[in-house]
Amino acid sequence: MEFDFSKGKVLKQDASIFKRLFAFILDILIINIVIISPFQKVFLKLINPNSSILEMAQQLQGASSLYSSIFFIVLLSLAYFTFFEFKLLQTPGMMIFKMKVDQELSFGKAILRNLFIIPIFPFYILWVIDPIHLLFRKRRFLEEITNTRTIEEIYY
Amino acid sequence: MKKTPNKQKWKTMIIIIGVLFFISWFLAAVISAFSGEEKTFGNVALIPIKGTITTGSEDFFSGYTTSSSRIVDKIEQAENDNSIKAVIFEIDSGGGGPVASEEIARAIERLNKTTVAWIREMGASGAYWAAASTDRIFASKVSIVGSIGVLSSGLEFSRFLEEHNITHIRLVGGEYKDIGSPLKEMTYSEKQLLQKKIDLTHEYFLNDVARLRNLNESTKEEVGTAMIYIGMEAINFGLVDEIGSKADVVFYLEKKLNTTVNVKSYADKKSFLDVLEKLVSAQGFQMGRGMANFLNEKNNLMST
Repeated sequence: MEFDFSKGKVLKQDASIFKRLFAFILDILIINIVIISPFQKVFLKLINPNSSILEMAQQLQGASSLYSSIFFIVLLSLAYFTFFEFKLLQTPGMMIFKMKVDQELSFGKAILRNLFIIPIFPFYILWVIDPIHLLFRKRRFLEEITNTRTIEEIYY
Repeated sequence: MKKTPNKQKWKTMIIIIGVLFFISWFLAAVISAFSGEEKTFGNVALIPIKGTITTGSEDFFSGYTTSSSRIVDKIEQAENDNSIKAVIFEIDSGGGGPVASEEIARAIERLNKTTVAWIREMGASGAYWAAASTDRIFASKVSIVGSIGVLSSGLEFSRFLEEHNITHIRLVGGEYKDIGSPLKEMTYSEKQLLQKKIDLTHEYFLNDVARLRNLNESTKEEVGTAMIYIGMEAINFGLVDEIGSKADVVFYLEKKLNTTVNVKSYADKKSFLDVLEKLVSAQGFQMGRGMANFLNEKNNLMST
């Protein structure tokens, strides 16, 4: 916890779990609009909109354009988190909830912090490890590795 | 830690989001363009049979070919897919190997669903064998159909070798081991032997087509000359059932199945990576060819 009395009173502390969760949800919504929605026409070509969910899943199996689309969506989502944290130390979701990374990041560190986006082994293990680590250590596993923190600034 | 003024922050944010949106839109358009007519749902399968029919696999150097194993696999897929009620074979081929053609014909015959052949520019020889195995054949008025025959020909270099004082030393175990070799003159008995094999193959092919199409003896004799026919002639010989396009095929199936037809293509889809791979292969091949030509020219210059 840092106290900065010189510039109007700011309290910097590890961001709360709920704020982080809501910020992440907001970022996912933005990713949905900016990155995923242009691929809708690719998906709609592959499925019969009148089918059930199970039938749609079967229709998507083996569709090569689906795998190409998923690959690029993941790449662009990783780029989203990486570039925002690298340039501004915060994503739009973090901006809304007044959170940011506590230090300047190199590009490599920015990528490392966000590897959980990749949905293949071994990265999807982070979907379990990161939140558990966050619960007990107040920062994600990837933040521990990169020696960074996500902080919130409270002005009072 | 540097502080970025708010305005600058928003500007950077908008730029990043704008760039990501543009890239997503562009990639989606490219992927969509390459996926073409790819549909993963439907109740009627469309299996294309195009190019030379072979038992081998398709690759860059083999030209436009259709592998019989792949076609048989697709037929089995359609058989096992409960949502598929019928299969259209889109045929545009001048035939190919007898074994490969028969494999396809048998697989179509075994298929326990309504089958239709839709002949485009050409459905001749082995490709016609496949078409004949279906329940109904559609062709255009000017499609080329027929050529129910067998061809086996090659070049013989024995005189060329003689003229150039080259001796072909023949060592064989078994009199007919090198039958058909281009390095020696084919004897009369060898020609007779090979011709007999060709006649047998032809008879087998013709009898099977006659059985599949219920041809009478005189028609069988006529088409057995391996004559080619255009669609409007072929219909008179019973080689084609109906003159029509894809729309006519779909209309026929809708009446037969008593339901709306959604065609699901079983064509091999070329992904962006497949096209890239072919481009790189083609480029590599052309580079190699260019280098070989250059070295050849250099050698010729040095020797003169």
